Amino acid sequence: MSNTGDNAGTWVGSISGNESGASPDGGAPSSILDRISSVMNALGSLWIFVLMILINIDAAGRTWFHSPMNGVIELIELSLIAIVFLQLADAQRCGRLTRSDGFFSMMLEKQPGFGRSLGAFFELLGLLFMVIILWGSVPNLIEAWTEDFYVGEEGIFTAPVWPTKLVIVVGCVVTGLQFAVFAWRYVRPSRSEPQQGESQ
Amino acid sequence: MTGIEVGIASIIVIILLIYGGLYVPVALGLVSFVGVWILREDLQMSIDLLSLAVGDSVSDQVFATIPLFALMGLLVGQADLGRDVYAVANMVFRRVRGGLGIATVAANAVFASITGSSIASATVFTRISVPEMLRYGYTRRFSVGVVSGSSVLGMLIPPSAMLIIYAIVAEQSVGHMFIAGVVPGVLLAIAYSLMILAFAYWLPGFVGGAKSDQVEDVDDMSTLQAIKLLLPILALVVVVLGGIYGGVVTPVEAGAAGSLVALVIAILKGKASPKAIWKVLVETGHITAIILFLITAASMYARMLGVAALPTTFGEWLQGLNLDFTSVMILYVIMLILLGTILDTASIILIVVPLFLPAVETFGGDLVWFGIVTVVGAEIGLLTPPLGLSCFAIKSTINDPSISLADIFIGSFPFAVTMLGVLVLLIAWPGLSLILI
Repeated sequence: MSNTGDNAGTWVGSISGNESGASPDGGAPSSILDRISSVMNALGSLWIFVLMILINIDAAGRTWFHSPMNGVIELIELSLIAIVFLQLADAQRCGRLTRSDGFFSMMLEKQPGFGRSLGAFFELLGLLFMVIILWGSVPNLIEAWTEDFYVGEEGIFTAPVWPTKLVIVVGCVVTGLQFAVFAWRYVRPSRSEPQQGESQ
Repeated sequence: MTGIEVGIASIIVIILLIYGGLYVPVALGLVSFVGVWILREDLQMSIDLLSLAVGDSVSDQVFATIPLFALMGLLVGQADLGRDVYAVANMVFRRVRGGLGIATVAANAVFASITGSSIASATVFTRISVPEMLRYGYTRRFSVGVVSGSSVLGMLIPPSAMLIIYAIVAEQSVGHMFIAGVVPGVLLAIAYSLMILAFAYWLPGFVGGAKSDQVEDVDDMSTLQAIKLLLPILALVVVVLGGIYGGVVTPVEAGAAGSLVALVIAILKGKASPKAIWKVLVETGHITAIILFLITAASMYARMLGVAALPTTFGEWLQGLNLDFTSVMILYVIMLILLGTILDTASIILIVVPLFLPAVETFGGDLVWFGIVTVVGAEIGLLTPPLGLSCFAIKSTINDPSISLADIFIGSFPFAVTMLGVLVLLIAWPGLSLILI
């Protein structure tokens, strides 16, 4: 039986165990969607690394050379939500989203028919959630683009807001599609099954 | 329906859906959406609530602590620092009865100061210290029990993911939460060690380790060697905690600096192949998405509760019961432990804390102290059935069919009880948590 997804707490977890991040098919991304998710994940991961370096430069500059790097804080604030939506689809694909699947796995085992329907239902709710967020986020993107919203102070450092809003929209679409694919796999048992957060 | 009814119904539906197996953020977000829709009878407002939460819930720079400390913890794991700490702790405690158990606790306590997760500690030390203890004749149950019990220290001794999450929900300073976790963490480690000693003397059958007297001639590590092994960890602790405590850097900068130092250590130890580092980065990305998305969804939930005015009403209701604060805290801890049986710690904090904050404030409780109590209380569930996450992490790492999940739960039980005892102390004497701030 698999455990619940305290994936949220797995800070070191599976890294040394070589088990992390397997796709349901266990290997190379099997579809265009999976590939898109992986590329977005890679971008987000790289971006975290870049931020880490920038924060270090800023802190070192301020502490030792009295010359902080302008705009790092603004950049962080814009980046975090973008990073989330860059990674979300891949996290979903790898079965890493937090869930408590004790009851659910039991159902899959003992009442496969019901368990599968339940699984598909949950994936569809995930899709619905993405659709609602998308619905509210598209107007924000249009507004940020047409009104030229930016953060920071003019003359010192400014950054446009629209790229972040765009990432939210794209992330919602890709993650929603991932949910849909998973739902489809639950009701088509002949295909490969979505895994149940067993990546630990 | 009144706001209160909708609010309470929402919480019940959320818990049922989560128990059924729905993704926690989806449960929080969708139910909040429906809740606000019913309350305000305005679909657009409900949609705005969600997209607003997505746009601004994690836009404060303090949230960068999550990816940064995650990255640091993963790099530290990659550099195999856990093994080094354990080697030193082993040398120090080897001649004490139950010594390997105490060494595991001590190594966990030190390792916890450079990583932020209980599950992480459980995985690392299952690989390192369980085989060692079995080799010296300790019982299976005790060996795995020590590892799962002491893994809890990872969440308590800073840097800790859970302290960050609490700080965010309760609008406390991450630095203060980190500092507040130090004394309770050390206290818990000492309590564990005393318990192991007591067991080793009065109930040796449970502990085992009879052969431990025969390890005299194991090659002794020189003090110099020990210092050499501990140096990288010391450097990280100084950078992270020293920086925050000394006020030189913010928690975000401490996380970034810690990550950089950890990266350098991994490179120096020859453990930083490009492939390994890439794996670390991808994993960091997943963790970041999972936790920040959960926080975003929880903020939708908190906004929904606000619209329903539930936290204020709940606080007034609690006061109306004429309970003293102690009774309220007892009820609270019971609730945490019950929730801990179905939910992970982060979800518990995000669901329960917004509800209780106003009440704690009216009772005059300190919110930093309340955070420590919350994290310890919610973590007890990591060690108890049916869903003790640390126990599951050990089971999936251990690769030994002769150790059953039941063995792990039984072995962990004394540790869960000790934790409860320490929690009582922490509640009774808030000074234990607040002394360093």
